[in-house]
Amino acid sequence: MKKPLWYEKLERWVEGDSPALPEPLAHVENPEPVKEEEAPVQHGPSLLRSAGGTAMNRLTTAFGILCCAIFALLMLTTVAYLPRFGDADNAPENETSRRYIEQGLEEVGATNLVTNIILVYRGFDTYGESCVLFLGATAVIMLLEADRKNTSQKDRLALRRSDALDEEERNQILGHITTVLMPVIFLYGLYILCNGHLSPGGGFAGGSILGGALILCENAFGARRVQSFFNHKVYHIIKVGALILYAVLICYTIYVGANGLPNLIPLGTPGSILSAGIILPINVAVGLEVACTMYAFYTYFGRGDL
Amino acid sequence: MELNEILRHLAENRFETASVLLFVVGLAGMLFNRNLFKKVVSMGFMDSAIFLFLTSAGYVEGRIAPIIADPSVPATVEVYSNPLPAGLVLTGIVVSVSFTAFGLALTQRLYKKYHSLNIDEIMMQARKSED
Repeated sequence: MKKPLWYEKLERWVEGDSPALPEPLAHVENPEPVKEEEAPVQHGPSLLRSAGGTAMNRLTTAFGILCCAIFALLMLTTVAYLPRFGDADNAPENETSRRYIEQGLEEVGATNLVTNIILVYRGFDTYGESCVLFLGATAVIMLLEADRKNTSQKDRLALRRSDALDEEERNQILGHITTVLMPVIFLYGLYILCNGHLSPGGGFAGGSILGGALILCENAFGARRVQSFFNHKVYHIIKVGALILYAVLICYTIYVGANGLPNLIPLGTPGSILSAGIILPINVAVGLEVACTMYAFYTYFGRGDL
Repeated sequence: MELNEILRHLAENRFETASVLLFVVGLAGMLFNRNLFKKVVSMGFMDSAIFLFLTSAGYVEGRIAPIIADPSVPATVEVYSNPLPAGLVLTGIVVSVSFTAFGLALTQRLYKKYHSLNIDEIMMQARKSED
């Protein structure tokens, strides 16, 4: 059976596209002989070997294995001295978690206690986390954005040609299935997003699902269709807007809490969808940002553009 | 402790043991793989190991997930397991996603420039172009 082209491409890419250079350490690592087709490693003019590095290589490998073994031994010994798994008297079960469990519902208002912790008690920390995601997306865009300076005319033409080819030969099955599934996936993502304070889920999980739905959309209908409603402008507005909304809400909460002022945002009835004060808007903001970031990661890796 | 006892403790803390082993697998992958892509994947292994360790720290035998089923009943520690480690894991997951994306972006740039993912070859070519 012939492998499909994309698989071969992926394989070559993952393998590092360097058939002339065998992995010099593969053998020392696996004492038993590997598969027959991989076993005859070329002893050709490897880059390291030509520099007279064979003995050095062996030594490095041995040292690496030794390091790993010592590390594993140390960690396993530590694990052996840890308190028993699932014991109620473990060190983490202290007054902090007691406070979170016993007063979380009353103080913050979400029935999902984990959400209480990550978005309000440790909200500042989670804000930093959103900033990390923002920075990650920015760094990826900086590195992969295909502009005039880092892409040749040939690459751009190739991308345009593959786009045109995709446009002509849409995968019918994928298109139809996506048409059926898309509303369901979006609905499910929104459900998880908006129910973060009542059930497992929240901004990060729901946002990932929404991002996945966007990626599916891009694959089924082509990048141009997604660009019609999700272009650079929308992306930047959502990304920055969500982060700013989050920052404002978290600043408000910290200010009110630190100064003992009455909180103007009502906590609502615990268990209903409009409850838990700032948690719902924060979840929505985080979810939108995560969805945008996931989709941006995907398209920038593939196309170098949104 | 005697060896028997150590083994018994390891079996009792099986999730922690598994996470340590997974972490070492990731570490070995980072050390021994010459392929940058595989290095990033190994880093993902290490991240997962840490998540497993943290989540298993929050588990308490016989207690349910920290989501209050009936808000009219006051919550007590005797019913719900510890929500704090689960909250901490989230931070780790997000950082690991960002790191993976950043690492892969760097890898892609390197591949576009040197047409190889092998770290030795990339270093060799980089040194050559320096001279």
